[in-house]
Amino acid sequence: MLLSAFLLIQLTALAVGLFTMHRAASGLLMAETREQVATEVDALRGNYEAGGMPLLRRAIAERLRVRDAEEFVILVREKGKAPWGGGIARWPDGVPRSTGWMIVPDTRPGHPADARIGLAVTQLSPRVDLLVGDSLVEEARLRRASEAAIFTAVGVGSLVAIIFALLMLRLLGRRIDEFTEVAEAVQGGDLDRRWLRSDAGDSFDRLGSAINAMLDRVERLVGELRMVTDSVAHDLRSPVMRLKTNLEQAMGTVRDPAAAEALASAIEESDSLHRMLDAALDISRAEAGIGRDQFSRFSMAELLFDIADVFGPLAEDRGIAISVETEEPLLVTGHRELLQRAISNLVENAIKHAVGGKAITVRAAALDRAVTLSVEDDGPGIPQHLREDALKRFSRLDRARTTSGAGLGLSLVKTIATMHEGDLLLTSGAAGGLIVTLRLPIAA
Amino acid sequence: MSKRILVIEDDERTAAYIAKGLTDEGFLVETVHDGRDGLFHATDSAFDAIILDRMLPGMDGMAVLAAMRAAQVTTPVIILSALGSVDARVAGLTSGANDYLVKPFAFSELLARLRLLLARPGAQQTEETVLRCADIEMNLINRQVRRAGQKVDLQPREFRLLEFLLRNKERVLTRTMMLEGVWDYHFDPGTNVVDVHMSRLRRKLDDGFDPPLLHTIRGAGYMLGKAD
Repeated sequence: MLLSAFLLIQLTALAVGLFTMHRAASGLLMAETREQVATEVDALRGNYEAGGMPLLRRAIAERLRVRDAEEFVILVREKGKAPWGGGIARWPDGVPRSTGWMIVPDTRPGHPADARIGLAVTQLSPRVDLLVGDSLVEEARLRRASEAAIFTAVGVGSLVAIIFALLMLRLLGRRIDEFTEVAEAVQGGDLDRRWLRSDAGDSFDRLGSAINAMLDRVERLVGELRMVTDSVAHDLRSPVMRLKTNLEQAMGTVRDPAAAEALASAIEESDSLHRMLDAALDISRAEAGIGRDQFSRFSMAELLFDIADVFGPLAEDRGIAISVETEEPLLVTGHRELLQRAISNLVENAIKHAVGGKAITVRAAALDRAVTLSVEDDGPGIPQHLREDALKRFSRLDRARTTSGAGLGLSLVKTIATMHEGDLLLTSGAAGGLIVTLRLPIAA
Repeated sequence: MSKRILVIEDDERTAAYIAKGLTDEGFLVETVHDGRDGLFHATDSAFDAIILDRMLPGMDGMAVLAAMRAAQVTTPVIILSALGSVDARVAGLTSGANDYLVKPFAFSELLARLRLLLARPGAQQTEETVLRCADIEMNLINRQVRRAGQKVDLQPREFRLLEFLLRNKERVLTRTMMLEGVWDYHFDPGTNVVDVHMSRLRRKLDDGFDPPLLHTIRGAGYMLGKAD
């Protein structure tokens, strides 16, 4: 890039130089012609003054004999007579009766369109005007040569510069793409992706090594964090499950209804604790990109109708109707179970939290590669400033959303979206309810 | 005659917990603690079902399963795994396991799944057009359900649920088994969704009829059929 900019500057300088040179050369030539014309005028005036019209005639005839009529023009205009002379037949338009130096277009037949004549006019007497001119052939030739030179220089130069710039761009682009690919892979959860080092020893090498070192550290930290979350969740699940089994066994033996009720509620609590641990584990795993090899092709429409089926009665008990609006079959390639889980979470959230809501609408549509999935409720929604919080792990918006929940729901949904290289959006609907939208590039 | 179950599990505590539970339920249980022994036992003598841990010393559980299947052992297998992720389930089922349970699990869940496996040995069900249980009759052709000759109006989702119950009648079905079987739904949604489904179905199927056929099995799940 820099190099081609430099080239362009060089080229401009060259063009400017050429042009200046051309100007200087043509100026010199012009001055010479002007000098010559002035000398001729002076000499002919001398002839006229010395010998009147007859000597002038002879002198002019002599001049015309030695000079090429194509280049050299003389015209004498006597009042009442037709102008006479050589090289030119009629008085050029716009030329006054007296001028020291003037350039007019050469309109004589057989001359190029851009040909010009430099001329001087003097009054020999009040009745006689003398015009002496020299066609600026040399100057024109020079100008054409210079123009060709400048044009060629600029043209060839630009072409070379453009080709060079494109080559550089491709070369640089390819090298930068290496980094973009790594960054995108890491962002998509492939944390152990690294830049393949080259041995060029250039800036790219240094950048690559620095990025790799940074990624090593990020991976190590994430790994440690994941291990902690994982092992906490994992280690807690066993005792929780044993607790549940013991409670269930006790349930089979108690006779006292109050005890049975207490046991039932204890079982329920252990279930919800177990679910939270599962969700925390699933988030860690999805964040780590585990399960990307389990992507399969399936009908999203079918999945949505099944979810509506599963949650239908529960919603109806609370006076809420679930409807599904989708194209069919809407084939996608993704992690079926995690997507099922994500959408279920959204539907469940809507049932639980959309206080006073009457309708939940699940929508899905595909455009090109992108699939947009949304769950809309007509509850109180989430205020704009709390939406960011809603996506954080273990966060619950107690003021806005009142009933129980582990607070892992939206965070898990967001993680699942990220795992599919998509994103999650919280907006509010026409009636003020919450719309949670997943945009995923997963259309099959 | 008691069913014979082979438990291949290296964690002694889990193995003992499963063995005790199953023995209490009247099964004959044999326990081994590593993969090689497991494979040897599985190919050597006839078991009705095998409970196989996924992570084993010596020989990995999935390798044991693959070797068993390669040796034409068709005994139904339930995989146990501590991997705790939905992915492991898919991998387990595609590599020849009949069912899959994530550790830790409730014993009731294992028991229900084991019983279901034992009730459906290898051979596929024949294509039936009418499913029956006591005086319930489901016609799969015209999608009508009758109880004691009386027409019962069911929503499509209730129909699907009842069909699953009828196909597995007189078996204890856990809530997760029902979610998986009816809706291909692979995690616990955390609310009593199944209970709501069941109470609606029960209202249509059992209200006004005798005897009740939809039973809640405390601490386990549900069962369709005549009470013992």
